[in-house]
Amino acid sequence: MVETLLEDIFRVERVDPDGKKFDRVSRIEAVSEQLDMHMQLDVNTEIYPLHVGEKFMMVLASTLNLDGTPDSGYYTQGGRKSLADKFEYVMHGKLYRISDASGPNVKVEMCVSFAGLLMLLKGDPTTVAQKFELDQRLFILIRKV
Amino acid sequence: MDTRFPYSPAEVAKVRFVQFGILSPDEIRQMSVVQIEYSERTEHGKPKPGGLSDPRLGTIDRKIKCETCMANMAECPGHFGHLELAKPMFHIGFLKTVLSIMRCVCFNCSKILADEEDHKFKQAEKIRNPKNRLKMILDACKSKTKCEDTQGQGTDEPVKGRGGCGAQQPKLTIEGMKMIAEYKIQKKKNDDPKQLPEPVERKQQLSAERVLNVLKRISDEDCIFLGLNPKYARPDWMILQVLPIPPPPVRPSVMMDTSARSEDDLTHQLAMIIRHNENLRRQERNGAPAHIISEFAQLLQFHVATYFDNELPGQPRATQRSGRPIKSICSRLKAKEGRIRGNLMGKRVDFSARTVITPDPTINIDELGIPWSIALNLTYPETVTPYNIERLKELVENGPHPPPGKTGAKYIIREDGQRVDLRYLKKSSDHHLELGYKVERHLNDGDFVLFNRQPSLHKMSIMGHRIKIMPYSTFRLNLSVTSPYNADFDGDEMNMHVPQSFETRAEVLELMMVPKCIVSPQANRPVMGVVQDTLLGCRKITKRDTFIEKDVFMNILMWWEDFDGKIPAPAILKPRPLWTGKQVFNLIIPKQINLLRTSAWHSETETGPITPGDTQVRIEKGEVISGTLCKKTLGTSTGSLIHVIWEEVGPDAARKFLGHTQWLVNYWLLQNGFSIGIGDTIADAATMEKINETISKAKKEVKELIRAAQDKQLEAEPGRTMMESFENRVNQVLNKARDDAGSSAQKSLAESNNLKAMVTAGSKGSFINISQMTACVGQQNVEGKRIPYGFIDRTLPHFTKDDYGPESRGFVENSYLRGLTPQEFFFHAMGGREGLIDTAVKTSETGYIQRRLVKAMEDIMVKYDGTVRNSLGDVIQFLYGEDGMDAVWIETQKLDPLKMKKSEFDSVFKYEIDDENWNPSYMLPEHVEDLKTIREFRNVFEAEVQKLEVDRNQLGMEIATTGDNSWPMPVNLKRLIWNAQKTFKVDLRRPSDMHPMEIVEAVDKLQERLKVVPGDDLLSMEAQKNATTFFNILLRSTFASKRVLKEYRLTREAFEWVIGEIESRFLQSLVAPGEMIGCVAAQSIGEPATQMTLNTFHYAGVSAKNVTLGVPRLREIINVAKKIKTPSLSVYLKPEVSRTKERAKNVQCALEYTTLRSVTQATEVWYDPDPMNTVIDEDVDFVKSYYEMPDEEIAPDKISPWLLRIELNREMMVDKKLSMADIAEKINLEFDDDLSCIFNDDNAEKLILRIRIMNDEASKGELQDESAEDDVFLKKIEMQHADRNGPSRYPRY
Repeated sequence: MVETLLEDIFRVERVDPDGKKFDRVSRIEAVSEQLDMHMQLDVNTEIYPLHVGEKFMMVLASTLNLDGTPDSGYYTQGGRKSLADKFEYVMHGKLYRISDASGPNVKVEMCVSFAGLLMLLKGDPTTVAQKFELDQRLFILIRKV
Repeated sequence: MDTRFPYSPAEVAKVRFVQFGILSPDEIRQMSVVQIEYSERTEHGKPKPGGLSDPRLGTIDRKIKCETCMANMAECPGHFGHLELAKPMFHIGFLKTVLSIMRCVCFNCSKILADEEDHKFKQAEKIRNPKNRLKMILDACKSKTKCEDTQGQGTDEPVKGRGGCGAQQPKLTIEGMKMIAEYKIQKKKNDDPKQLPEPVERKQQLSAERVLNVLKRISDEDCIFLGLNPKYARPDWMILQVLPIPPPPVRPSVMMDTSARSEDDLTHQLAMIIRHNENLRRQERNGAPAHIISEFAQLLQFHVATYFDNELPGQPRATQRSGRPIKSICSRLKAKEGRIRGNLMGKRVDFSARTVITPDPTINIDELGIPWSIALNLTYPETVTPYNIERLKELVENGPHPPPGKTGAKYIIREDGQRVDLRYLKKSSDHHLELGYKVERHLNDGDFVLFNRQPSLHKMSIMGHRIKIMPYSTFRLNLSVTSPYNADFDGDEMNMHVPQSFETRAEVLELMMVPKCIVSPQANRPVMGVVQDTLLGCRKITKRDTFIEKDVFMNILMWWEDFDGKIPAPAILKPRPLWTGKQVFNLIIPKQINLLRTSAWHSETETGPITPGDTQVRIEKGEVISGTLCKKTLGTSTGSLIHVIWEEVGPDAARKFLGHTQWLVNYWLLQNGFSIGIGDTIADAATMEKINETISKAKKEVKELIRAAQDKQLEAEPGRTMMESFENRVNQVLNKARDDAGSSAQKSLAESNNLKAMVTAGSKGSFINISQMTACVGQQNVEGKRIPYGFIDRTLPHFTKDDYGPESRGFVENSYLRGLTPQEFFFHAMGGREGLIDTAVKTSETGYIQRRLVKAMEDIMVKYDGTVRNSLGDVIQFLYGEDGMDAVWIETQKLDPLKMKKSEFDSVFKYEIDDENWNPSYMLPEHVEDLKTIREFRNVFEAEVQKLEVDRNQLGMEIATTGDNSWPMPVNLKRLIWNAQKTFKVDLRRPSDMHPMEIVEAVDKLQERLKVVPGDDLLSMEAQKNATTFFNILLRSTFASKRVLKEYRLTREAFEWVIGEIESRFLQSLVAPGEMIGCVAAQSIGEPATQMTLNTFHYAGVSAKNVTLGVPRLREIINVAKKIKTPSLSVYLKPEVSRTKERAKNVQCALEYTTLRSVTQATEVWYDPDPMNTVIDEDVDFVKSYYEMPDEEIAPDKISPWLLRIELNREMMVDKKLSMADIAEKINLEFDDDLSCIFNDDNAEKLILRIRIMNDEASKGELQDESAEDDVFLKKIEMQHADRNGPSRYPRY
């Protein structure tokens, strides 16, 4: 099994907190159950609808290869076995911002852009920030539970 | 040497000077080779000797040699002949001059009429310009009606003065081509009327012969006074006695077919002259009566005149038999198509093409599609080398008419310069090519050409392109280059020029190619950006919810030049692979690019790292992280993506980006589809209701205003009349109504609205377009005011008289969608027409402004020593722009410390060394320990902060005094830091490995290396200091050690890279010697001036700011106008007076120009004979009390009995803070003792000023007569002085 960077189950708290701005994309606010994380995520709700109250499992990984070899960054066709098989919604993007977390009780903010679909993850420095580094390529994998 | 001329062993002489003059009859005879006597040209099919085609005049036949110079047709320039005129004739071009000379001299003795003692004559003598001198002499002679005879008859006194003959002078005039002399009837008492000339003779025609006789007698000295140099232009030469006959090369005949010859107009006219001359001579010889001769002479005069100028006003045209007017010598030379402007000054070029332009988004911006027909006509001379001989051989083989799809060649030029025309090749051996030959081959793909559109207001109006041969007949160009050319495709034509040598090609390639011109120094921003449909596509494709399916994305990739078969991973892999539009941009933005911007519709309320509306544009390492790309990012503004790519990566990358954006995005837009229709302009019912409400509310408000104005309840605004303030208020209300209606219309448009999509993208349309289409067209203006009353008290007969309502004065309440009423339509047409006129006037005016600007500065250049000089070598500036920076490399940068509070400043720049527990996470612990323990280090950092504080003060007080903290400066430091962070993977969570001392030292050393002016003499050092102070402040504030460590966390490696990069970029930003910055400056002002639309721009409502702007103001400045339209003066008050209104008012009073009139209530002139007392009851008291204790001794008998009594306006006096004494003092100052001035107390009921005239010499008894004039004098003072001599408390300079 591949080592993932982050795993947790989230609950959708709100959809489009700032009002619906785009037809096919909604911003989802979710709170994690285990690690006390807060997340904002743009999801293509046209192909993967998410509603308030729904729970989903979210995984962040740096590669989809089951053997853990780093991702090439290119699109590979053909149905090879991968981490994505067990998930319903998978995106690929780049970590572009980690806020400085000096000082106690300060939560770290981490921003990822999945080619324009943004994610903001707020959480404890130890759980969130440690394993990640700036400009890292990330996969987000979601499965409803 | 030009091969067109034959070889001559004579040395080439230098022209020392050019002397203009008039040909004398003798000279004409001398230079003539033949006297022309016959009007016939040929006799028995041969040129007739003595005719107009005399062979001695030169040949126009290839076979015959010139009889005079024995040269053949190509070499013989032709030789003049001459014609003896039977009678002298006026030369029509000199007629005016002859008249003025004739008016200056005596008709009888030819002496100058004016007296030598006359001061006007003396003045004229001093004038050096001959033309002006003549004018002055003429002025002096105007009044003379007699040739004055200063010699006293019979006295023995030596001859004084001019010694005229005493003849009476006629009045000379010109009527048509005749000169008329008219004698005035003199009415001197003792003159016998019988002595006068006969009444018939009073008005007589002057023949040219008479005039010639007068002119001939003018002495050489007088000639010089009259502005003529007798050596080169005697006045009598202005009368034609001999007519030079130009040779045939000037008037070539045209062979119609084998036999018939068609002669030039001039030849015909000359034949006419000869014929009439002969007639006249015959009549004279036969002794015909005088009136007949004069009749014939007149006819000859007419033909001679029309031979020179056939467009004389008031004269019939001389015509050919067909009725076509004859082309005279004058019309050959004159006007735009004439010899001077059309040929001598005209510049026309070979190797050029012109045709209509059409767009092609699939070619690069530096490419140019040219039609086959042009490519196969123009040539480029290519020298044959071993490397191209095979290719050229094939081209030569193809010849001038190559097979379809191929190009050929037109000529071969052998090494001896012999040209082989490939059209007429007989032997195949002529095809032979050798190394060193030149082949004039057709244009090929990839050749460099110049492309130009007039008016060439810019250097970007002529740019270099690579050609690409295409079918059809138009030039094809990329849409992005339309903006610098200011071209559109509504039928515009453009010109292309093919450089003909390696040197010119190199210049085109290195200096003029489109990519090199992307960033212009005019406003230090790019001039090309993404435009039109591509821009719209960019905005739509980068929306957050734009997803691209696999098939479309694959096709988009096929448009990508650098596609290597590897497909970037999709943003969404599951449920199905979907790419976002931003990923398309990831392909084409260069990898080095980092950019942070906002979208056009970004509002400050959208904050946070991830904006919900996707308005925060963030590009990192060429990857679009977030944001929608619109005009702000892709357009031509400073710091846009194109600007950044051009500066960071280079012109070629920018070119590639522009090309790719168009190809990829256009393909996607084509698949996505876009159209706009009426439906996009319709607002929903609720909005329409709201719009109607807004407008009816505004109309009601205007009604209220009209009522208030009619009831005189409207308060006039300062500096405005009642009417003006009413109009202003109405305008405000109506404009606000239109804007409100417009904004509610805009708000109602959905996100999916196509019009809105274009407006937000910035590709077409704006707020005003939306509001005019859907809400309300708004007020129509003519000359900046509402539609004026064209009929009596109304705009149109549809309205009642005196209707000031919105509808009647041109407020269009309907939208374009709803349609305009007939009246509204008419008003709209009025406004539109003014706009058209304005554009027409503006183009000519700005064109002239541009020309003057360029002409004034065209020679100014940066020299190799860094100074800016003109062509004479005069220094204009010692350092270009005083900082020696090329505007192309300048970007706006923020000076951070300028707007920091003290606490902020400290936290950013100051180490808290004194704090015991100071343990910063941004520094390595050993470095912290260093700072804490080593004394010297501490001093260094204290000095650093101190310097920064000094800098900050200097910035605020001396340099950046406007309060703005963004200034244009070279080397974008912030972006450099960001680039370093990205390339060296700086982790902002880890401390830097730099020691703060290293940073301070490196920055110090860097500052010393940034040399603009090298040299260590005092002047150079001062110049260097002045040039770099500002930049160094920026540098120090950005690279303060604490900021580097804490904010940027630069590693040593990254920091060193940044420092090195700053140095190299700084040096890159220096102007290159040879830069023609005078032209750049002139064009940078002139070009935007041509784009200015409105004549004047009005700040609605603010009266004080209603100043002349735009083109009229620019004209004032350039003309150095002494009387500007809206002069104004800003007075900056010192803090002690600026706090209260009263004190400020004091300053105003002191400065304001105050006239006596402005403080006067009433003036009266009284007859009040007793100065000690008065007849006016009101004044009795103070007059008496004054004379009880007079200020100075007054002699009552000198005082005039007339009195000027002025009552002053108390309110104004108080307002202006004037006392009676002030005014009296001023009056006394002006008139000294001529006036006596008495006044009453400042607190009296009425402020009275009594003024009397003092008569020095006479006592009043004697001169009763004159004192009556005193009242007239007083009246005069009353009228004039009120305005002129105003008392103001400070002297006016």
